[in-house]
Amino acid sequence: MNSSERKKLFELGVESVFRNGFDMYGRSGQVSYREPENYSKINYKNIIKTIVFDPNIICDIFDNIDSHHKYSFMNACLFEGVDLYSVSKLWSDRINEMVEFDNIHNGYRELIGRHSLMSIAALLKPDFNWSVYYRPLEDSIRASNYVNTAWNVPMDVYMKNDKDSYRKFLENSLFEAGPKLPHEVRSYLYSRFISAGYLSSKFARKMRSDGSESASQKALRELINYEDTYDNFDELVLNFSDSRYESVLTIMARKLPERLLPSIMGATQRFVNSQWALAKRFQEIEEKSCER
Amino acid sequence: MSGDPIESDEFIPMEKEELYNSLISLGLNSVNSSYSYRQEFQALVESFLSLPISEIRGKWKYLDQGLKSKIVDRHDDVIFARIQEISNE
Repeated sequence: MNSSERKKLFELGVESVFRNGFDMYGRSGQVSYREPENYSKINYKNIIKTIVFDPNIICDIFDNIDSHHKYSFMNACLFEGVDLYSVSKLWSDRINEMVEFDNIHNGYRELIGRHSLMSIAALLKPDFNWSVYYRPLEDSIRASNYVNTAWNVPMDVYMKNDKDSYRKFLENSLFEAGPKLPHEVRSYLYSRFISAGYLSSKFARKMRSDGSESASQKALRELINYEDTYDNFDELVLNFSDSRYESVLTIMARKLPERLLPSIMGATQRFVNSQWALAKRFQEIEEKSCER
Repeated sequence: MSGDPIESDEFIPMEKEELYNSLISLGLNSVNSSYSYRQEFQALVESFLSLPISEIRGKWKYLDQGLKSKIVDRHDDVIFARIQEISNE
């Protein structure tokens, strides 16, 4: 085997390890390594981590590998806290090249692509100017008929770097007078609004009265998930008990903390399924207490 | 250009040779798969099989069954000659 054949096999091996080494990864910065299997002697996790903590191992072949594997590698660097930008000039030049575009529109289009190299490079570049993309982000969310999960990266940065504008954008998009956003986009923004800790009774009532059952449900589920974020959780969540949607009441019956269940007994009487779900919940609680 | 690896105290990095062997083997497994059959890939497998059997040693444990049987098939003379030698000792 000559050196070019060795190099090619090494390159294919690196691609293979980044293709098969992860269980799944969703949002940037979240990585789940594939655990070693009993029948195999290949420890993907160890191989990937060895490369990630010494990126120069793949420096020579990085430009040749598929962009999806580049993304996986850079995402793993981000997850492991490896400052790839500072490793060497070659790496910082690569990152700079990935985030440079002729104009903001092209850059934004790349930023919100699936498994976007630009978004991961921007997260790895310490002084990247995110603020130029806030406006295109707002505009594209307002104009969209569906939810793009790639919004999460710039939205997270927006929330972190410019809290006031971020909050204003969410409030205006969701609660200002004017044409409403599609329910799927509303649901997405409700989630972001609630998870950021911005919910008040006034807005909880608006979410309860949303014209879309699905959006109202999503808001309730998110609020229950973020119970610890709100000191006045009980007050906020009980705003949903007047909902006109059976599914909302049923979720409340199934998911609310035990202490709040008596407060929705009257409300659930309006719907057979909610009533049944509440009765079942009480029964479960009783059985549990008998077991103790 | 800095060549110093970044330290991590959470895991023990693989030795360079071990890492190299595992990656080459994964590359071989990948090209030997029927899903990625290409002429130039088969040339890589052929080139690997033509190596002396002693050079395959470090990679053996990472190779898939298909490649292992190809190696045995290619080097059966050497393998059985060595077995014969050992049994005569």
